[in-house]
Amino acid sequence: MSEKRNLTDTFAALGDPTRFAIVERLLQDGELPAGTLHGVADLSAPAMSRHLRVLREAGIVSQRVDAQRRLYQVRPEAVKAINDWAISYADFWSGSFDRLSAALRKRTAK
Amino acid sequence: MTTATLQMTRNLPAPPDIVFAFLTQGAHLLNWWGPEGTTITDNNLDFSRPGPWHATMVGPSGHGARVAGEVRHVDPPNAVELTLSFDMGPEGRGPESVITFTLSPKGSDTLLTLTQTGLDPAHIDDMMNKGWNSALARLIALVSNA
Repeated sequence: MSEKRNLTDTFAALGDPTRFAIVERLLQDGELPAGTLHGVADLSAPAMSRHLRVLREAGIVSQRVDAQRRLYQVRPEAVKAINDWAISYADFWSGSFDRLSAALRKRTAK
Repeated sequence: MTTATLQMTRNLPAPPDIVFAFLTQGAHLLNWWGPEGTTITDNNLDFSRPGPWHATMVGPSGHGARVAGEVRHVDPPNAVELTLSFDMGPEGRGPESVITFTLSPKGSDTLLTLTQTGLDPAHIDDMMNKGWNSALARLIALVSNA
């Protein structure tokens, strides 16, 4: 599958509330085994597998196998793509607050 | 029209009264408003009193953008609310968003919360439609704070 993902696919995959909740949980907690993710929504194991597969195919999460467990995490590339898309204001403020913080720190150092 | 909301929080290394001054006074605003490399030229920046404001920001690439709005509500050192829109020249003003800064003390620091509502979703319209913006705002907040 091509590494170059379409952001539309990303958003289409995230448009489902359950999948969104899974991604939100992974963003907060980092890498998690599929078993832990069942708590995100009241889902059967096969239903959860289906959601995780859609997220994997959209390039949003990656999977690795550790002994008997399958571990999932959000791909940094996907976070970056979403972030780049949101740049207009999120970056504006983030950059501004960096400078504000630096200005305040300079004042404290005086 | 559906609009998007952006929320971000930041811990700043000074008590609220100092942060409030940096956040609202023109001389301070010139030092931080806009990402690194931004220069403010023509402006009347002062968020410490209600009324109209405008500023021209010139980015590292030399492109300028004029933004303007109105300071609606000032409650030192707790909150400031203002509107912002881009001046699109002959096309008039862009969509107006409402920005609220909320400050709360956190030890000797300040927790600053930015909420920006009414964001122009023009570039998201074709990607998503139904009820997805509030969720998106949560996601953006998580990503931005990561």
